[in-house]
Amino acid sequence: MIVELGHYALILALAASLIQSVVPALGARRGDARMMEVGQASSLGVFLLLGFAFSALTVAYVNSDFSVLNVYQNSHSAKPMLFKISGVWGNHEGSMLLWVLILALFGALVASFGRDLPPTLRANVLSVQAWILTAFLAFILFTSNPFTRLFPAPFEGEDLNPILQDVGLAIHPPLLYLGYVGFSIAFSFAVAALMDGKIDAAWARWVRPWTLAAWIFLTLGISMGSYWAYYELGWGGWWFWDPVENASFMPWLSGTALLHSAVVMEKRSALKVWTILLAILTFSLSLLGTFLVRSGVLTSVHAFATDPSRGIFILMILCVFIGGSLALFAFRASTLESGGLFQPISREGALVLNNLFLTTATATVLVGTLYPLLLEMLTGEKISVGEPFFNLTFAPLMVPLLLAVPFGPLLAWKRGDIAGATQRLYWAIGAALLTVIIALALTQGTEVLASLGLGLGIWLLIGSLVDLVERANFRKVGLSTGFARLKGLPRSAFGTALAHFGLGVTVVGIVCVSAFQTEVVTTMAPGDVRGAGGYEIRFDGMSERDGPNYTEEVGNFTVMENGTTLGTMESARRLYTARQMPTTEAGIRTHWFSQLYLSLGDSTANGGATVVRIWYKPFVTLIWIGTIFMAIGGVVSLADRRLRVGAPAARKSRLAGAAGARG
Amino acid sequence: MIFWFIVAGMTLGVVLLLVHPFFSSRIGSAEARAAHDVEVYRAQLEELEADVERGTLSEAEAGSARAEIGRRLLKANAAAGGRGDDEFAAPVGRKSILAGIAVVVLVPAISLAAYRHFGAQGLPDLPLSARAQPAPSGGVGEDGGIGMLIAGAEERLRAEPEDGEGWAVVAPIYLRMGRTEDAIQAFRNANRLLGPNPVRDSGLGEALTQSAGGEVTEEARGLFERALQARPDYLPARFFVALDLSQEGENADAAAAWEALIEKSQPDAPWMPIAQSALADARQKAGLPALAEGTQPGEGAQAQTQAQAETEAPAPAQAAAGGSPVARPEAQATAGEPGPGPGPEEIAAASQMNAGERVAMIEGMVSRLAERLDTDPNDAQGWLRLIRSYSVLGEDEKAQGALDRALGVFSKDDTARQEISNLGRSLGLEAREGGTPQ
Repeated sequence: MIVELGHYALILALAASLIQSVVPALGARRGDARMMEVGQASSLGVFLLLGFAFSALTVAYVNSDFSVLNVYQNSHSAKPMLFKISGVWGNHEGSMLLWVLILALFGALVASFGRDLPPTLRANVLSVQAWILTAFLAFILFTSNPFTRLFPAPFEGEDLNPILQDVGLAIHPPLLYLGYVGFSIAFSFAVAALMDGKIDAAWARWVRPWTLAAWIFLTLGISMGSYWAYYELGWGGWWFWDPVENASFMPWLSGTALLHSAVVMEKRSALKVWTILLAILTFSLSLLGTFLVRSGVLTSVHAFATDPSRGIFILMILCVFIGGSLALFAFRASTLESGGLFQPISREGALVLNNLFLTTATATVLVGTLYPLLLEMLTGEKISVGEPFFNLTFAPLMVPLLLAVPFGPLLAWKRGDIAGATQRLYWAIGAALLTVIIALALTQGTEVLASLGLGLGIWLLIGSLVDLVERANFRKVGLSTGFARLKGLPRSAFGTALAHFGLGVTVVGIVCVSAFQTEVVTTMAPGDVRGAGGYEIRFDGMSERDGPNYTEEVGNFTVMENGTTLGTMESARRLYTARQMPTTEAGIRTHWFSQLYLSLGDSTANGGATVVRIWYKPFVTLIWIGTIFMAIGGVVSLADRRLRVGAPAARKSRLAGAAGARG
Repeated sequence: MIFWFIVAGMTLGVVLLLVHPFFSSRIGSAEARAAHDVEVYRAQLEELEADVERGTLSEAEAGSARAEIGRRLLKANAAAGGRGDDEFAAPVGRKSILAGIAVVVLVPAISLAAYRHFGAQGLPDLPLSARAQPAPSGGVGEDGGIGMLIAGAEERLRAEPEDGEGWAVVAPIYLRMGRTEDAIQAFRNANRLLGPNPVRDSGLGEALTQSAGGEVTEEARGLFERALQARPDYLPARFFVALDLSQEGENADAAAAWEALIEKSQPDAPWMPIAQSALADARQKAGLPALAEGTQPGEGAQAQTQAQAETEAPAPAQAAAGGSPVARPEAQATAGEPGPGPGPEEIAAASQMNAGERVAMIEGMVSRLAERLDTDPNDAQGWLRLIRSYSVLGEDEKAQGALDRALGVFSKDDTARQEISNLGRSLGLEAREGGTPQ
């Protein structure tokens, strides 16, 4: 009965969001406080209903209730509990349910913490949220209902694709969705402002924390997906410019731009129209990402979600929302009041530069992702736009942007002093140049680009800290006062520094791996020794082992440095017996930030010897560590309560608590 | 019943939640939005002063910022004071009453209608723990029986994937349950571990054929031939070889193969009807004279194709679920002229059908037979075939019904009656007194 009640709750949520799509927005138009209040009640109700529906599905998974088609197709009674639960969103239907649940969660958060928003803005925002919710609930009910029953119930389920039975994949989709869906709030605020034809003073202040929260989740989600692909697929790469990866990377790029332009809007009331447009674009890219992954347009690891009828439905949602919001923007943008003026060389100017580069980069990725699809659709010709395209277009766009990053926080608002900022960056400039020279010397001038890249990384690392050091003013006031001042600095300053520092860490990681990794593909017989990255690796032979639902051939290796044994490594070829599905398990040994990565190829015909790929990846983990820095920077900035309260003072403490809870 | 109480409760709860703002007395007039802006700018000014105190902002910078915020504050102040039309009135207007009524009517109407369409009303949960016990009654138990055996075997095979005998046992069951891909895998595993065997080769070939939508693939043909080399009298393999010849259009060879098959088969073998009409078809196409007892393709075929089209749609789902197929009255209604067997078009169609569609076609044939027996009940062979067909299709209830009726048709001393009740007994059906004329 719980399953059917969950199904009914899902339908009831659709009915309630239909009401919520219309009534509060009408109330806002007519100035009817009661009708506007319906939005509050409904958002909470819808969230509870969808929470119940999601729990009901989870219960069905936990109890292996194969009378539910979705459970039968994606679960198995012998699966470990963790994967039974992660199986709920490890498939198309369940993941869409998670998608709307998160959407409803964000709506409920706006309803509960948004008491201080102007009522019409809040009512409009909740109605726009309900439009999105209604569209996706209808999508679920009509094309991907997770509650479809199967009768009579089969005794055993079909199990989840073994490659998806992984802890990384249990966390990756929820994080990514929190990011994607979080941008819906910015979108709803933007559309609400366009409907009103007025941007309230509190607008940017409300949009920025939501965008920041979504951005943090998306950052972590992408990073985790990248690490999963790195260790699970056994290809040794960390980013493949795969369309599915790009689908999540585009909202991240434009979301980063939005984050920065929202700062300008919050602090200086400038760039209003542009920020609204960015908010619309960012969520549109999230929808596009959902479409690309869910429609079956792409074939990739995520191919579990392919179905043309679903694709058409999502395409319709996509057209209505993107087309509708952009049309609304075209009609109403001129009625919006544009904000303050500023000099080209100023903090605002720097942020505009950031926005220009980031949106151009987004467009580049968009072209690289969609062009092959369009070409194939129109002419049937298959082309592959891979790494070379992105290296030629994306990378050159990033270099000037990264060079400009340390300048931004040092420039004053409205009119800045570029010479002064450069002066304060002397240390960073010096360190970067020194790095380039040392790197050139060490590589005997063979790796010019990599040396310059390393210099860029160091420039970011040091440059991002300059602002903090300067503002603490150690040189003049001494260490103890300096630290006291450092403590007194607003948290957003730390957030900025941390996030920019993280960017530097990632850049260093990327440069090191791209330029200095070594790859050996070789045939090894037991006892053979090969060198990689200053280590010697001895192949000790293959052994067989049985897992719970697979058998594996394990290659055993010993790692040595200058003759001393450091330890052993394993890399395996797994065969999931029932499905006869082979997978590879890469052997990874981490030493500080660098990793040794072993992947087995085929055995040679006469046995004993096997093909082995050995990578030495210097500083590879920095790529992901950097993203963690970025996310922490985001959290710190989110925890900064300054100016977050656009509200009557009496209610300040409650909202401050709410902001703290979000951080 | 309790389910509908909870549903009603949930609906009522949501409706009350949505309409409560219309009755609440707490909702006062909302603040004008310009007043909101004023608050925001005031807060900004306070924040500015705090920054200056902390020393993060120089006095000069603060001065210009203060001036700018001040300008905005003045503007917002003027707007707040000057216009009263932004104030929202609290009294319940006619329009909001309408909105409230819309909520009360629409929410239950939409959700109940949608649930009737999408939901399986009141279907209980069937968690594994509940299904592991012998089910008290109904279809779940029947399926659970085989299902449980399969599940047990699968469990063992997970622990010992190299157990060839285990694979050999589950493979044909998978094939019958319509889990074609699993069947292929299991047959392959069994052959890999135990070495080939004609029955398994033929089973694998059949599974491959099903998986290819009824097309006998190269690999499947090879397997059937290997099976026949080891055991030339293995008839299922012969059937598929003949089918392949028909599909390839090698009609003379096909006719010979069908003829040989028919000769060696028991007259009641399940493939006989198909074999006979395929033989006729092959002879016709090969330009050989029609056999004396040949089929009459013409008039029956068209009606049959139509009936088939009607039956096709729901069939695959049932076949895939391994459940018992249900006879569809439309099929009987449209099949105007009862034909004795499938016509050439049907055979050609059958060879391109998947398992589910083929079941549908067979069902169509069975229901035509049933219809014919309605008008001409004095056909003992017909009744025997009908009862056996129902039994093979797993429709025990219908088999029982046919048995009852057949027993009613023939008098007690008739040998036909004896034959029929013998068949009933061998199929595990009971001779009920109701149908027996004493």
